[in-house]
Amino acid sequence: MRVYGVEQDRHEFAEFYAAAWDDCLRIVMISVGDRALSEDLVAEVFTKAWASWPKVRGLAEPRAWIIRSALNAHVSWWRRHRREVALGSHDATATTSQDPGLDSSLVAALRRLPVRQRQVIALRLLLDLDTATTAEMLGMSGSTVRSHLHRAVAALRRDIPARNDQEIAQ
Amino acid sequence: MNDDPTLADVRDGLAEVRDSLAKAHPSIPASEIIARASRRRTRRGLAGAGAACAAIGLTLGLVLPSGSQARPVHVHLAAWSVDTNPNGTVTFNLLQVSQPARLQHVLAEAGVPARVRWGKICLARGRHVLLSTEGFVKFSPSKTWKDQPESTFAVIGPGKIGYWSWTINPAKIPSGARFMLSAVPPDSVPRNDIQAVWEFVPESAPVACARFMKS
Repeated sequence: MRVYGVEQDRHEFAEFYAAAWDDCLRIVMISVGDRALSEDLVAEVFTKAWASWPKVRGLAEPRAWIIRSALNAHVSWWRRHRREVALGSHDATATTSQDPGLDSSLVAALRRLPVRQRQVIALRLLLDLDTATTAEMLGMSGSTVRSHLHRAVAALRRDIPARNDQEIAQ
Repeated sequence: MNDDPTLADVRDGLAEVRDSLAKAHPSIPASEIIARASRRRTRRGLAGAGAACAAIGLTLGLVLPSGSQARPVHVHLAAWSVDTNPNGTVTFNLLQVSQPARLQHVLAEAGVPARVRWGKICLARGRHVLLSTEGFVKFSPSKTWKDQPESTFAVIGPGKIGYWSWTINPAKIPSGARFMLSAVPPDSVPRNDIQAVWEFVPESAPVACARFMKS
């Protein structure tokens, strides 16, 4: 005799949560810029992941689902709170972290990108997924992924002259 | 424009940032994440069930029976017993699923909405419909398992149920929810099929019944 599959699901989910949480949080933090808010977003999305666990666990890359959903949730969060933001860019106001890496010019430039471009960067470059899996996880075609990536990298290139100069000097 | 050097530069730069962030462990345990989802599911399920019941009641002009119509019950059979306790809770002991219609009726009288089926295993379709029983059900199987799920329990393969016992507070059972209890004769159950199962689900949840059902 053994316990029915729900218990097995809980065990699987707990393992996934423990293994994926840190990776997902780091990537969301880079895009969001605030540790506390990122932790809230990631917790919220993991809660949704458990509610849809049969679907989520069957995905090619469940971590990508967490990250994409957290970044979407961040947009929703910002829409709810934008009236509380005193000045223009919500991204600029959100950089209150205790992590110095999050204050780099590269990360600041990344946060100015549209959310779809940020999602592509997060999945393709930070989670290191291939174009096909990124496309599947974001519900877009491979060519759209490449297009978003191209534009994002072009924007980052413009926004980081120091890095650009360094690259040309090599 | 060739993006490749810049792409590599961006990848490396972001990877540096990612790796520089302080490693952390989840501040919320997985069990709490699961509990949050269960509480949210319960609220949504009951809101939906409540709306559906209200709509049906308005359409048909019916007043649905409520838990307040429960009365003290003391029924003892060899296979099962249902007793209303002085504090209003109900103790339900089960050795075998026998006389399912009577058991369902007795439970209903005690204020415990239930669907009981013998000869087929019935499950709400989709595990997402399980509702939380936290705070009003204490379930004690004769054999215990570590980290036992709160809203469902099953015996798999040939064998006996053993002895299942519930203490239920009918006053706290959310409206629009019910227990589902089903079992098949233990002798005929294949190795990995369900022999007996209970779960707590919305009344509106679609139910699938079959003689044999895999775990």
